[in-house]
Amino acid sequence: MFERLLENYKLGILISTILLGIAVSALFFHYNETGEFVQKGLDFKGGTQITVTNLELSDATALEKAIKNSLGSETIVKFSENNKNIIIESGDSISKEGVEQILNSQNVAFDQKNVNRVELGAALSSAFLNQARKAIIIAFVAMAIVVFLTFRTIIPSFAVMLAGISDIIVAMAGMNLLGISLSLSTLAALLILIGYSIDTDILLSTRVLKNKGSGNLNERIIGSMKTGLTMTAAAIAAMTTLLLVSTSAVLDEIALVIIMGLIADMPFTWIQNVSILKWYAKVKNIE
Amino acid sequence: MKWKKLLLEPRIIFVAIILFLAIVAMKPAFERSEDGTYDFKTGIKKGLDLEGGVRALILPQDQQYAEQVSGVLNARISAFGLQEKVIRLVEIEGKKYVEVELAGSSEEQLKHLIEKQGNFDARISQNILLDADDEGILKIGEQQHAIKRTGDNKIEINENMLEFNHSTEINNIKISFVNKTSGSVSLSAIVFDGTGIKDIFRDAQNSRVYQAGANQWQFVFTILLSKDAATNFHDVVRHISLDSQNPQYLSSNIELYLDGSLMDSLRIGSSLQSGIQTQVQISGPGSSQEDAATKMKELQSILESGALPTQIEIVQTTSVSPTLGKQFVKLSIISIFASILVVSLIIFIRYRDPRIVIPIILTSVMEVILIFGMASLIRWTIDLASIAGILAAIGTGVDNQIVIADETLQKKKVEASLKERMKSAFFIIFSSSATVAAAMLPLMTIGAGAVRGFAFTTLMGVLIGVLITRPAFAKVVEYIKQEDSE
Repeated sequence: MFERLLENYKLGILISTILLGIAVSALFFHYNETGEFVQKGLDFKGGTQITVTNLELSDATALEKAIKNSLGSETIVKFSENNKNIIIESGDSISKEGVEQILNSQNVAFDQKNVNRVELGAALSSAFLNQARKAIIIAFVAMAIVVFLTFRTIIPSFAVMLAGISDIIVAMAGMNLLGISLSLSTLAALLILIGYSIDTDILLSTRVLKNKGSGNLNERIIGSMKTGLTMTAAAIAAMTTLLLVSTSAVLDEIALVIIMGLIADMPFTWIQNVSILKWYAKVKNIE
Repeated sequence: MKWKKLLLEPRIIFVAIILFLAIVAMKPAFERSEDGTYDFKTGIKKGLDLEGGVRALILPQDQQYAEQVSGVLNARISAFGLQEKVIRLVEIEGKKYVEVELAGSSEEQLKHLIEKQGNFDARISQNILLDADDEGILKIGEQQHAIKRTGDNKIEINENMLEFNHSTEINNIKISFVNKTSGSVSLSAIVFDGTGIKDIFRDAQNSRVYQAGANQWQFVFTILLSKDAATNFHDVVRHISLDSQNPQYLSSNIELYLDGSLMDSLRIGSSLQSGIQTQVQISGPGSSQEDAATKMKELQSILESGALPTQIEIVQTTSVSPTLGKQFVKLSIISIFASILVVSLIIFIRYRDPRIVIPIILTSVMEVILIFGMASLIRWTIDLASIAGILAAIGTGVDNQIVIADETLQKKKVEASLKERMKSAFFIIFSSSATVAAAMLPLMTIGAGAVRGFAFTTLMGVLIGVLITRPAFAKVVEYIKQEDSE
């Protein structure tokens, strides 16, 4: 059955392009609504972030309302799974005392020792944003060079990079959906995601282009799919464990970004990249 | 399986040696903590996220003084007694910043120490009576200077004009025209400033805190003036009249200013008129004993470090409580081990061969130890982002192990030899490691702290994997393959 799917590579290219298209439109939709493709967090926008851990509260919605009433409706309020931790982010400068007052007024039990504050000036954060943009571009270019040096052919190298880019686009669309903002940590997560995703594509391309002796083209593809899916499953398992075990919003966000990207990696590697390679193989008469 | 022969393989021995070195580098030790339980301590330098503390990013307004700012802050923080500090210069987008990291300190404490420019001076005002011709005499040291009021807001000193609220220098002393009435003018003299302080006494005899009343505490400490400063001081003081009601004191006080704000106004003992005095006492109030002691230490540190050469702006602050830090440490350890376990489960489901699963688990554990060992060796700070990097490195490491296992243990008949297949596996591994490294390297230059930690540990993990653990794992797999074919 797989064999028939593999022969129909044009359908594969169509399906994966539609998937990619949906993700890209989601990003543009977000751009229309908010003026940016991905929601920027404190690190890139400037402002204050106050975290309180080990809370005991009964009504999260009431607390969120009180916070927004007091500090502004633009304030971002995030709760951890069991409402034990709260993160409050604002573009303005907010104080620990201000937050503590709100918590007290809502009868939320907390320890002053567990209140943490981060403040970032606007000039510095836009400097970080510039650096982030440069870093991503440099990382991509560096990776593209390495990939090209590995395979020395344009189309397969392009297919590998395309899969990586697609994974990131889907991960970013997912971030917008889940309300995860772009911070220095989620940026790092996106970059490590490229690494993970390119792993599977390099595996596929190497088996297809270089391992002429291990069975015919389709067999090589299916063989690498077994390996690759195991790899992706292991990575998803590791990140899910992190997600379940962690009580830190930072680690949670990193885990979610990578998980979403890895789930996207499966169609983009095994449908998109495979289809492009099949087409390339047909043109170059590789069996 | 030929265990003994496997353990004697050079690659395996190499791994064992490096592993041993890494563990030694971490300096593991059991320490007795206050409540009697044994705490496991290591030489791993923990970052803010794991230890609690405060980090601030400071922008010196005049960039050429960036290094001096860093020096002054360093001196101030050391003088205050905080040992666990990291102060370094960071460059972001061409601007130089000073990054200060204090473990175990609070945001307020850091701000108190840093925010003050540290411009200190001591002033004494003289009230000079004018006669019917609007003339008077200003005496400083051995000299007399003629004063004449020439307008509502102007006076002349020795025929040089001085406007109200302006200053001039006479006998090396800065004199300001600060007040006027119909019959007199007040001139304020800066008798010494921060540069005139030669030494600050901190020993118990000359620096102490005492209770001045109910809920009122005072601190007092002695400073030593330089000869020039003491001379200036005497030059002004000897001409001040005695307080008619309290002749042991002079009629003017000495006012201490820090960064332009009046800090304290002290009575001057008349005995100071008799000769050049180099010791001056500085005192101030506190709301409690602890508060007074802290304020004294802050002031002493500011005076000792000197003034900041330029204005500074705190552009970023992060504060983490120590309890949160400890939570994160526990969390990190659990995450790492849980991930390794879960991944092993998946691998077991796929291969169902413990001979493969166990080496994969062991390899991951070893990689973690090696990364921590390397971090300890070069005193790299481990923070939450570094932990995330370690998890990422474990993930890619396992991925690579799977590639090796798959490539070489395929049950199908394949034409290529074991050697060729191993080469092909390593080709895949090198390429993907190179791409991850390429992604991490630009990250090492970004930001001020967090992401560098992540990039570093990931990069370390990749390098350690490619150069040390993966070759060893490949050797193990070779042995398994050999055993299979026998």
